[in-house]
Amino acid sequence: MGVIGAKNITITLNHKEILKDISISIPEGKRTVILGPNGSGKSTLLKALAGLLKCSDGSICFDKQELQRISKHQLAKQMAILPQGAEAPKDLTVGDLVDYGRFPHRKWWGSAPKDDKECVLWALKQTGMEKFQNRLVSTLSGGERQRAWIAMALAQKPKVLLLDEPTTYLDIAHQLEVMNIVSRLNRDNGISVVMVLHDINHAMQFADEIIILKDGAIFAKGEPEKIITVDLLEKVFGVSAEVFINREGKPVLVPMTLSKKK
Amino acid sequence: MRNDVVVHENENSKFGMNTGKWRMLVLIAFAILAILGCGVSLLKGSVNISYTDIWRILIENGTGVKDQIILNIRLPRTLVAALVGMNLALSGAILQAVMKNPLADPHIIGISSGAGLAGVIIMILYPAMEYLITPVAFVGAMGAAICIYILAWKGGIRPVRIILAGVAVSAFLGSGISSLMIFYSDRVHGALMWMVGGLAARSWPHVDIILPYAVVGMILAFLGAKHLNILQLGDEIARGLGLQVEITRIAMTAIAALLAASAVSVVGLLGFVGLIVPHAARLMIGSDYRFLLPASALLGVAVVTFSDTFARIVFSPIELPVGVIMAFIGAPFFLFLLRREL
Repeated sequence: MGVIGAKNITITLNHKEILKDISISIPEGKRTVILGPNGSGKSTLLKALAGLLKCSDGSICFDKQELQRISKHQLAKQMAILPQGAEAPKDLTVGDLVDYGRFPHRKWWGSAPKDDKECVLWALKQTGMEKFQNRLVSTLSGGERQRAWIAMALAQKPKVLLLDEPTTYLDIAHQLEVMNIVSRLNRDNGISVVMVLHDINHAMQFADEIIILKDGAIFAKGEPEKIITVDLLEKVFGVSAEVFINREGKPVLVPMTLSKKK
Repeated sequence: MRNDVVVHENENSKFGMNTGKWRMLVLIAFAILAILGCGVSLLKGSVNISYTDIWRILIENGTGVKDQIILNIRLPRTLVAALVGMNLALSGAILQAVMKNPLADPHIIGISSGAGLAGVIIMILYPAMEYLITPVAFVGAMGAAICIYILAWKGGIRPVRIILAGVAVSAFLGSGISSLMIFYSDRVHGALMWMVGGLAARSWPHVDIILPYAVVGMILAFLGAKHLNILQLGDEIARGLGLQVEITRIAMTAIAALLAASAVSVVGLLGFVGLIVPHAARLMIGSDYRFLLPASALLGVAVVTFSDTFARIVFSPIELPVGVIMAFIGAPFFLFLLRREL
């Protein structure tokens, strides 16, 4: 049993079934990547795992406890989610944004816990954002901004970190930067990571386990080398791809053309 | 506070606005403005009373003519102006976060009209129950807020939909107020004054009406500051941080409605305070609600007391309703925000 377990969950949004009868287990201390075409329900699955959506059927467990029974406040101390397209007020500084990540650890009124400032500094350091502490989030570049938001999520001191397309809209260097930060957090701090990604090669390089969604159902799951094949890309994305072997002897997939069927 | 100053102080910081020291300076400046506003409001009027006289009167509680003017006319009016300014400013500041909308103001989006309609119904149809005016106005304000949410809801809250729904609700309720006033024109004294929002002849009974709600509303608003900060990050982030978004939104809307309703109960439909003041405060002190709320409250006091004094003396002996002044400054400011934010 993993750190998060979903049992036969179905999610319906606006009378439309987005996810159908999905069962998965997110392994503890590992890096899990969710892949799939646009509209396959990746973000919905991520939000459901974070307890942001109601399941119309089935149940989700976090740390062997049913998600519905854990208070949102308690949950936010152990699990952090960064949705897509987060936007901060224009005049918010990076330091203040990261400080908001301490919200779940604070009481309604009164002084902050002792380790509050340390946690904020730790989160800034992990993402290399210390020197930006007094900058406004709105004046940062895309990559810096994404790191600022990740720092906010880290300030929650989560056991599990859920990220929705953290590399989308970033250039290749900043994509790698984000991937490296997340890898390091997983390796050095044992944080379980679940990410929605678009880049299949990033996923293969980064993931211990991949979940492939298609039309709201699980198409395949397992270790990247075992499940990502030319055949799978054809079936899931409708793309014919070629496989090259890189210097490290790992397979690299290059999409070539749209397959005829689509 | 002291610790914050030390931690945030950074000579290389390009943006002095978010340092603790700057925030403290702004709060102190706004407090001075608020005190000046109240002072000017006491000092100026058709009868000249000197600064030293006022001081003596306030301390000694005499019974002369000047004492009467200060204690029974100017002092209560100043207090009402200050409390109304504070309430409307806090209400606007809260609504801006809750409705994710820079243009949310209790007047513009129709919450004041809800309070107004309920208030007019009491004033015209059940004048004997006038002591209930604030609770009833609160119900009206809350009803209007709920209507706006329902009309604007489409899988989430979008700023533009809120404004459009608010304008519609406001127009609808406004027509209700107007028709009541026309059908019962004989029963409404100073109805016109009430429609634009005025402070003429406001005295101690009005202070009694607004004061308890102002105090309770202010305390509740300040208690919600941290939650409003989180709400500003967007619903999904807020949920991820463990905030009960729906409950917070309803509770904070109720507080905003309470503040607006108590203000409407004593001065009528005074617009734009809830729009101009929180924005001006935000430009100076930033979006952190722990500082923005007190700054808005103080600036609200200053703006309404100064405007009312101005309205009283500029065309003396004719007295303009303060709402006219507010609309005169407010409308251009609204357009400025519209261009800048939406």
